Order: sequence, then structure tokens, then C-alpha cells
Amino acid sequence: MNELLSVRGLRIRMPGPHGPMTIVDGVDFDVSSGEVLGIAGESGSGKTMTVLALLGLIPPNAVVTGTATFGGRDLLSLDRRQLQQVRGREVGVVFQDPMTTLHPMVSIERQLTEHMRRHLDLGRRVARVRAISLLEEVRIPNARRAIEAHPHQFSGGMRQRIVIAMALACEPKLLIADEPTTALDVTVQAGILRLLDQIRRDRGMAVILVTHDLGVMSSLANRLAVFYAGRVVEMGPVKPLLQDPQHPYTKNLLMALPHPQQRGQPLQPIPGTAATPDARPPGCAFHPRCQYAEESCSIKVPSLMPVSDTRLSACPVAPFAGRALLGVEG
Amino acid sequence: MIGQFDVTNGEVALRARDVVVEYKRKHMPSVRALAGMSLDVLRGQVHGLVGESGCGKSTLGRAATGLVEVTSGSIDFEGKTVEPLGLRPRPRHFRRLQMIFQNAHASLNPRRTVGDQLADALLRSHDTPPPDRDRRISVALERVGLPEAASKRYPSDFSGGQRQRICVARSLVAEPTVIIADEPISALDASAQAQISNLLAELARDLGIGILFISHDLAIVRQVADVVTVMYLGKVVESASTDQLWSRPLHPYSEALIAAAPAHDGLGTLPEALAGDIPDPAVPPTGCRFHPRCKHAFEICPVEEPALLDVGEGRRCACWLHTEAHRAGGDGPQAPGGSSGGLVS
Repeated sequence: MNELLSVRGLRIRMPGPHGPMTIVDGVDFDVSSGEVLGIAGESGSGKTMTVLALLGLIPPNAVVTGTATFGGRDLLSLDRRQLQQVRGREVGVVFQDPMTTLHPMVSIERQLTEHMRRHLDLGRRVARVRAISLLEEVRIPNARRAIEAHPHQFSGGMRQRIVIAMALACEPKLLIADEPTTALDVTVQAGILRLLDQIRRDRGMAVILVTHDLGVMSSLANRLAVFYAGRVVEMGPVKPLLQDPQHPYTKNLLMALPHPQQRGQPLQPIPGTAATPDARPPGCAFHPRCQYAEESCSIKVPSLMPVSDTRLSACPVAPFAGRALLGVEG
Repeated sequence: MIGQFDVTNGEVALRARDVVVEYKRKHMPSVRALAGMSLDVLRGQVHGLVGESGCGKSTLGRAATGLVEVTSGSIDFEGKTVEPLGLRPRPRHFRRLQMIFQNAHASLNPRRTVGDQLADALLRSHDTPPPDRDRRISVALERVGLPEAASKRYPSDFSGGQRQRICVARSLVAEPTVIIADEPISALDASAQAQISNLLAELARDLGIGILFISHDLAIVRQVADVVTVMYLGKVVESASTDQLWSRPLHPYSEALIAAAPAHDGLGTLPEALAGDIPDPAVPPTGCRFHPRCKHAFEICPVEEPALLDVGEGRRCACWLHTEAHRAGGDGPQAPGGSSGGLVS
């Protein structure tokens, strides 16, 4: 296979108010070139910490173990200087809030060209020309004028486009987008989703898309990893996963969302409360909320097992689980 | 003629008429966050209020509770005009108009027990004896699905969804007839969103409370709201029953909003983007405020502003497309009753 990034046994532990907390507990996934891997999960599921760990951006008191092989190196064992070579150059990042990513007092030109000049050793003029074409690529109107401006002169959607341009500046092989449209209006979000889709196709870049919004996932992702309480509970191609979920958590999460066919009827929340990082149930972390739970679920952590050629699920118990194996998958 | 929808209860509890809210700025033109909008919240009804950020939907909620001053027009609650509060406590009469906010964490005092904070809603408005007070607090907590013991605990002991329930319980203690919920579910996870949305819909149905549900999440609004008002740049562009709006949006902006919401069906369909950005509300476009982004705009749109007209079936729409169609149908635009059948989509 042509995996660009291979994450194996990623575990992140941090001191918490009641002793050490395991934020991420043994996560494995691969991302190939040209693919959008979606990481979905509720707040506290460890999805953001997973991608921050890949970038070396987690708090210094966190203990990270496991491996993340990217271009022949292990991202998790690089030192600061080596990481700086990777971040911004080989891996681009887009965060939720463009206003905290962009420096409010620095011109767009300087913010866009700074890392191009540093990483690619370009001169000021060449970098400027490239910056203008990047702004055009992300469809900022009047790019020649826009490059002189400052972040506050743009709307939220335009700012996020500028952040995307920055992330693309050094032609990264992997783009990490953490809730890239959550702070935006739906009308603007639709434009950003279309832009990200176009860029991915044009550049053949791999994308890790982190979001809680399954609508956004459905529009953009090829494959989905569903996180619950620091573990991947289900993984597979987005269409069968959303249409015929194999893990009870995924199934419950989808049932909690509004469906046009059920207008006016009460929504169906997941029973119980979400497992917080400092109080994770033993065994399968979802078992206290699961209507299919058996005694064994509270004892042994179920591992992620294949349920078809392309799909994995960490539930050996639920009656519907494994149906994909029997050829139901569409 | 507003709010002629066939829903339960039906008594108008909150009435906004031609409300203008203007924010003055130093050395800059003032911003009209609301540029003349009218809306009725009926008892027993969930009234969805949607639109992009900056359209004035939150300003309406704040004006209705007296948190911002109305520049012109009027907001009446149960027949009495809402006055800006300033630093005064709210008049007793308005205790039956309650508000809940997006950030439940910031709405609660971290250092006081839940029960104490719920009691505030009583102390400020009644002279309730303590046994009665405790009873009403536990009734409100039970109503939102929290145990009575919650009243002895602190906000930090609860999850985000539970904190929002505490805020709802606090508003219930005052026995409200209208609750203004400003993005009440935006900060919550999917499961908690479902719980709070269900709870608000139940309150409308069981207790006859009118809920003004301000949200940018169209999927949830579609699920819980009985009627929906769509705002653009400080004005109402369309209002209709939820079913009507989604099955046949009349205003191009409503259509664009609905098309922009992504579906979680796994089909990989990219949502439709709406061209352009929200204009600066300090210098709104001439004519119809939506015309620079509208794919149907024609000659009259940049010149003259379309009025919000009754277009039949209890719907209102402010768009030249439908004004023309309406006229062609033979009915005068101000036709009372609004049951014209000559509407072309």
C-alpha cells in the first residue's frame, strides 16, 4: 500500500485533577496520498489531541507513546528542530478559528511568505508572486491588493481561505484540518468545503479532517475513523459507515441527529452521559450507554476487528454488527 | 397579519413591530442591527429564527428582553411594552419572559449551588416562603430531567448538556410564557443537542410556553420548530411554517440557506455555496439587501426594496419574484386574509 502516514499504538497520557488521564488509548490508522481521512467524535474523545500529537503541539507534560511513520521518519520521536522542518513544510495545518491562527498586526504578505522564504529558501519577490497565486487559488478576490491588507479587513470565510493558502504554501503532502468550518456560517462553510475538495483533487494531497459534524464528513471524507473515549470504535469508507453503522456508538450518534423524514418527532439522544477522560469506564468505554452490552463488555476492551474487506468495528456483541460481512454492505 | 398559523394555543405572547436597533459608533457610521423587523411569538409554539451571523437574530432576542435599547418600533410582551433595562432590575411583569444563552457555563455562577441560583428567579419576583420555594425548585429540576439532589451541587459537577438544563430549569422557576433561547445548543455535542431540543419542544407542547429558538443550525430548527422566520441583514425575508419552508422555500436566500446545509447521508454530495459575503450592515446594499448575492436578481432588485408581504397560506416573503407573481395572480398585495391562490413558485 502507499500509506503516507502510518500511526500505530498512539497513546497520550496527561496528569489530570484526579491522577493521570489517558486521553488517547492505543489508536492505529493510515492515510494514503489523495485521500481524506475523517476523524469524528464528540468533545473529549481525543480526536484533536491525536492530530496535535502528530505535529508535536501537545502540552509538555503529556506523555506520548507509539509511532507515526511519515516519509520514513517517526514524527513522535523527532526533536524540536526536526519537527519545525515537517510542520508547515510537509504537513500543513488549518485550525478552527482563523483569527487566532493569523497575526492581527502583520500583513497577509508577510504571514504568507514567511515560511515559504524559510523552508523553500525563496527570495522576497519570488515568494510574493507565489503568495499572490496562492490567494488566487483559494479564490480571494483581487489578490494583488489583498496581499497588502491585514486580517481584520477580511470576513471570517475569507480569513479561513487565507489560512488554507498559508497551509498550502510549501506544497505539503498532508493537510491537517481541525474543525476548519465550525466557526463559519453554513453558507460560507459550503464554499470552504468545495475549496478543500478542489485543492485535494488538484494537488493529490492527503487530508486528515477532524470534525464532530457528520454532515461535513459526509461531504468531504473518503474514509472515517469514529473516536469514542480515546479509542477508534469504527473505521471504514464513509458511505457504508454512515448508512449502515456497525458499532452501537456510531449507530446511536447517527440516530441522535435530526432526520428530515422524522420532522416534528423527538430526537433520540444517546442514553447516559459521555465518558470524560478522567472517568473512563473499564472494558468497552461505551458499555454503560449501550443497549446491547453484555457482561463481558465491562471486562475486556474489544479490539478493532474487520467486519468486511474495508471496514473495522470494535464491537463483537451488537446483533447487527458483522452484517457487512454477510454481504449486506452496499 | 402575522403568525396566522394553525398551531396549538396560539395567543400572541411576544410581539415585535418594525423594530429598529441602531448601534452608534465613534467616527464611523452607525450600524442598524435590526432594520425594521416584525415577528410574533405565540404561546405553545416553537418559533425558529435563522440567518447568517450578523443578521440581527441575537439582537432581536436581546432587545426583546430589554438588554439593548430599541431605536424605533416596539416590542410588547403580554400587552406591555418592553423598556430597556439599564442597571435597574427587571419589572415584575416581565419575569414571565425568560432567556437562555449559548454558553451555559458562563450563565451560571460557579461558586453558588444550583438550588441557590434557581431560587434567584423566585426571590427577585415573589415573596415565596422557603418550603414552597424548595418545592418549586425541585419541580423545575424534575421537569428538565435532573434529580432533586442537583440543587445542592455546583455547576462544575455537571456536563455541558446538564448545565444547559439547569439554565432551562432556572427560567422555568419563574413560570414563563415565553423563553428566548439564543443558540441554546450550539456549544453542545450531538446527543446533548438532541436532549435540549427535545426538552424545549416539550415545554412548548406541555406547558404552552412560546419558544423563540434562535439558531444557525437549520437541521435542528427543521426538526423542532413549528414556524420559522428567516432573517437577512436586519430584516425578515421570509416566514412560513417549517414544512412549507423546507418543501418550497420562496425567498432565494431561504433556498440558499437550505441548500448550504450538508447532509450526513454518506453520499459525498458537496453542499451549494452562496456566492459572496455578508455585506457590512453599516452600508447595506441598495434596494433588496440580498440582491448582490442573489442568482435571480433582475432590474428592480437593486433599485427598490421589496416589502414583506403576505403571500398566502399564512406565509410572508420579501422578494420581487413573489411580489410580481402575486400581482399576476390577481390579488392586491395588501389583500387581507392573505388566502390568494395565485402563487407561482
